[in-house]
Amino acid sequence: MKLSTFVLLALCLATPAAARDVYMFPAPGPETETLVIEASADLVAIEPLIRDFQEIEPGVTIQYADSLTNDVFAAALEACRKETVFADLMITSSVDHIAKLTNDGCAQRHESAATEAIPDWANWRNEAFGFSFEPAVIVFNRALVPESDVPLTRNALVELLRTKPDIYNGRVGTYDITQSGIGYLFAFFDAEQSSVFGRLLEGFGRADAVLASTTGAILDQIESGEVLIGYNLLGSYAYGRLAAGAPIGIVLPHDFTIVLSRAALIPPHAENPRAGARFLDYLLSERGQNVAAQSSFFFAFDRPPPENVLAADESGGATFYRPIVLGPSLLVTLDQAKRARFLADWRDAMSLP
Amino acid sequence: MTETRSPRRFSLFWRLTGIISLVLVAGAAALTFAAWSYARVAADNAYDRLLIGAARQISETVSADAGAVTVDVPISALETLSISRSDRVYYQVAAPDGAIITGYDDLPLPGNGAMPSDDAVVGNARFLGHDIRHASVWRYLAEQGATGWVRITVAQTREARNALTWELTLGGLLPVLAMSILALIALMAAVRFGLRPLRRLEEALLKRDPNDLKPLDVDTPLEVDALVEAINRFMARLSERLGAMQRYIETAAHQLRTPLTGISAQVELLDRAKDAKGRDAATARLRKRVTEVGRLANQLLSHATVIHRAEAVLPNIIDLAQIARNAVSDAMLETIERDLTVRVDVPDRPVMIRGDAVALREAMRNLVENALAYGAPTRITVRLEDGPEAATLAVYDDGPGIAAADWERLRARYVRGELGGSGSGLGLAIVSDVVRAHAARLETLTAPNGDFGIAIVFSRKAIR
Repeated sequence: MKLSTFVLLALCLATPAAARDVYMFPAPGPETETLVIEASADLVAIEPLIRDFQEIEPGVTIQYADSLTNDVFAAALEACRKETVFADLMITSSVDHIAKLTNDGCAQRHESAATEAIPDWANWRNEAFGFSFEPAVIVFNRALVPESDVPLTRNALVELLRTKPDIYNGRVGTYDITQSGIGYLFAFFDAEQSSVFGRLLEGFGRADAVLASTTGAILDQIESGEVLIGYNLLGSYAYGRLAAGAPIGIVLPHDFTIVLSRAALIPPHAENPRAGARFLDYLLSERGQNVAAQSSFFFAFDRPPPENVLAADESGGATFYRPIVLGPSLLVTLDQAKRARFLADWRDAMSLP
Repeated sequence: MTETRSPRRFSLFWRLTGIISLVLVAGAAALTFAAWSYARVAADNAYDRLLIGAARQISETVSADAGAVTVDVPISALETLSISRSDRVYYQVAAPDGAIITGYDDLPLPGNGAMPSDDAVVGNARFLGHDIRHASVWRYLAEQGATGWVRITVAQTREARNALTWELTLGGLLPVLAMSILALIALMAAVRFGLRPLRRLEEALLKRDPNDLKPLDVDTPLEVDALVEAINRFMARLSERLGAMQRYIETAAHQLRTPLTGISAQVELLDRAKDAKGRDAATARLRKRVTEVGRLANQLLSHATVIHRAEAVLPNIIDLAQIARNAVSDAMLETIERDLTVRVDVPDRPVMIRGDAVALREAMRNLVENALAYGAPTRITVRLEDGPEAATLAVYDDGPGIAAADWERLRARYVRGELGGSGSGLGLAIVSDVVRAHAARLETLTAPNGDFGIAIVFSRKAIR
């Protein structure tokens, strides 16, 4: 976890605008091979997994590069078109990017016991794999929101905004989906799932909701009390704060909870695809999932939610989860015409200019 | 008999089974191909409906907004296409002026012949390294600033179709396989059943007593009649030969027994002879008897040879003149003790016929001996005449000859193949057998000088 333990290269290459941070994890034992990972995922979440993987395979040096989702996607697509080397494994939270790459034949097939074990919705064609379980949650300030006000469903949130505008106007927050890929995905599938979302957006619009481009920014404001309730936030980040002692509460919406799975694929022209496959198998394995559940994402496939989370069903295999299925329907979320239309509708509903 | 196998032996049963199996395998292969073709069409039809349905779903969301064509691709359209979860899907929407509104720019499109209409057009192509099936539908827009046919194309890879094709093919293949196996079993049983008469025939032959040479009486199908008939013919010949042999042995035994008894009696007399004169007389009689028995034994052996050769030896081209000359030299040896002239009268050129030299020599020897024994006070002539119709080989003597009635009686006996009780009968029987074996005739002749002759007449027709 300490910065001194790895080399921060922070390369600023030809395109100064594109932030691409490169971290090296030298092999703990005698080095036998190198694994190159291009990702768009916080190092904090991935690092425990990399370290644990090196326990099993001490001969592997791992180069981990973290960039913005769009940059990773563009680089992967270009490498695929030009048939050049990109990485041994690509990881991103933008599952629609992964779906598009897979659909365009920019992924290698990989089959193993581990890939068999994950749910169908997280495995497309044995080429694209979801390896985390990240519910979109409602977060509230435990100190400032009375228990009777805690919204357990979307309808409850709509009602709360309608009946207590004096308290909550200007003090609810959600993703600015024009800025955030994950926010867009959550909103998109929310809208697909239920018409309540439309009314909720109108509620946010009337309540003059605070918009932010990251979960972290809204969580900061909830902790500080500026914002009382946050909607469609990443469960893993929120639980990280909760576990660290922040005065917040987490609700898995009881009507339905959208679930996103960070996805990975092995690019077609990888130099060391076997290492990529082994790391992927590790991510999907019991051991990898345990590490992820303890220190990275806190939620995992087919496991009960962690403690102190308000869920309708404590058992884990709940039907109220609505996972974003890794598959060709995700192409729609990348459709520019569709996106422009959806964003326009969203702006209208939120009464934004 | 069944132990003798040649390397090229084959089994009717396995040969038929092999041919039937080949036919069945070919049939099954043809049916499989047919099933596969049909399954492919069926799979394409099924998935094409989904493809066209998805295209129509998208086409319904096409609209014009301020002169610009827009489309709101519904997620359900792509979900329709991704039902199988195994295929990749592609789409493209193009404005009336050909500009791509959304989707994959370089997606293969229906051929040039496809004109915008209300009907969907489907086709096969290759895209991004995979075989795909694409479907296009058109929607006519009549809006301010955007008028014309908007084309909506969707495509998917063939994986689910191929999987369905193979599933359907395998489904069709199992009955074909089962039917083929059933047919093979049934046909094998039928072949076995059909070959059963041969087995019955075999059993009937095996069960037979070795001495039983009666014609076979087995229930057989028409196809086996020829075989049964051949077997029966063979058995008849075998039976005839065995009969001849048996008769021959009986006769030979009978013929030898009488003179041997005579010799015993003479030896007895020799012992009892009281004086030298009586002993001399007995010795002379004994010598005569022994000579007779010797001659008889020779004749019997000669007859056996003739019978055997007639059955077993293939005839050669031989010279009758040479036979005649040999007969005379043989006769010279026999007549040394007697005051008798032996003449030969043959053409200078060879007279060739197809025959057995050894058997003919025996016949001639017997004719000469016959003449010596019962006629021929002074002369014997062996004459060969080569006429256009026949070649005639005759032995003449100046003896009394054989009366016409006796000749007819003797000849009748030869024809029946019976052997007489006397030496003369046996000699003529040998001649008769040889004549029969050469398809010749036996005739009596009288020479211009009055000599009596017995002739073997080889008809030219029979020789050729």
